Amino acid sequence: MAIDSETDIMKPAPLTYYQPETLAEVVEVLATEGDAARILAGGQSLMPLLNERRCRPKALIDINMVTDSVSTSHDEENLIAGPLVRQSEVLDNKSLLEVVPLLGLAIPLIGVPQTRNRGTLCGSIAYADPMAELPLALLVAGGQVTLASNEGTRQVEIDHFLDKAFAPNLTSTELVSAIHWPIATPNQSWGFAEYSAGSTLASAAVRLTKYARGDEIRIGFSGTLDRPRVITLHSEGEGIDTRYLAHQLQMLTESMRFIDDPEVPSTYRCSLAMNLAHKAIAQANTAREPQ
Amino acid sequence: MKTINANDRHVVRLNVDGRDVSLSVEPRTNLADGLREELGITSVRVGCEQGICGACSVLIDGVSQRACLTLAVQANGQVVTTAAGLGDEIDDLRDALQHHFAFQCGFCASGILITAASWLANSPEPDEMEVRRMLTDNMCRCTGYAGMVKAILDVATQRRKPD
Repeated sequence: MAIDSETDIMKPAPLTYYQPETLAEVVEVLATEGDAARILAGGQSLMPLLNERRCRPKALIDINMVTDSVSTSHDEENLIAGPLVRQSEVLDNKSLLEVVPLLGLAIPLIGVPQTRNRGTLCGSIAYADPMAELPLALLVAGGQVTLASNEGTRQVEIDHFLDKAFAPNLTSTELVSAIHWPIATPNQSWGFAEYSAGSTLASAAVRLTKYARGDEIRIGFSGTLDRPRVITLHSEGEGIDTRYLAHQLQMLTESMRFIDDPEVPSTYRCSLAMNLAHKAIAQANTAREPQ
Repeated sequence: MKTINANDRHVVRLNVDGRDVSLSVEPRTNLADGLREELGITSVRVGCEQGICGACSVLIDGVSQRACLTLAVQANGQVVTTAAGLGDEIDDLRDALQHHFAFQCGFCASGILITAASWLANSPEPDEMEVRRMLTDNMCRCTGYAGMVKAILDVATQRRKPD
């Protein structure tokens, strides 16, 4: 059956395809092509854009055959995940999930099982979708991103990297070559709550840290703001005083600019964010070691 | 470094449903279109091309994924299984789906077969919530999934029984 791809059907625009086998080759092509190229890892975010021509790179750099990129490793403080670590492989790795439990809460909420089989951790971070789970989770965990170019590598705090929705802070000749995910300490527990209707609309993620004097509650929001953002609350003494917490949360969220549009007013988004925050806090509280 | 220019056709060699085949495609052609147009395997459906509907589901080297979100050139040297290529190892699944009137228009059927076959191959517990979560991979607009869920649970239960 002949298809007239010029006029009948929306398919990707013509593109040149590169298949590098080393990170050095990747950054070499990026140095030449710059903004005209896009990195193809899992493709679960990029291919939909290409299929509808919402993105028309002149070149695709397929990194799936790059053999010298780190898979997963860790030092004392961080789990380090390279650019081809698939979301599903993390879920299958119990020893990994023990050291980064927030990943175990966030990843099952991403997409569907088949997209998780291909989609990568680094790819999701690099895409910086303001609705996505992984950028929010890495932000709450306080992680970093490694950016590689033909001039070397540099490390960037995730808060700085997620500068704008869909427009993260990296140059056109750089790619995300690894993420550094802080390993959970015994006094930390985690929560992740999401509201979705078909696709994800809003999420809240929590890191609860117990100190001698009380708790630090670090709460991140995504989907209701311009980009993922974090606030920190403190609760004194044993346990969480939910009324005091609600009051503090209310005050802090009044200073946040929730998205306002004709369909969904900012007051709704604010109340949704608070609701999710409470759910995530309750989850983190329940997950704590029994006192 | 392999480089394919935009307007060049490239020969991709792969194994599809047990046969060694070759496709001649532009780099921008996705695997679903490559299988359909070059090999005539129309049981791989194209629905949304956004990775949402799952009508294009295939196995690549045993892993279930969206054929519409993979480039055909990426499948070089790989083993692809489409719904048409799932053999008699899933006869029990086909029988159960028929028995429970699982399909109406059938557009989602190829995708459902791939998703369910892949899940069942891991000998899972027959757990209804788990089946429903697994079926989020595929959109069915006709049936409300009820027959599929029953059929898949039946098969999971039967397969777990000692011989």
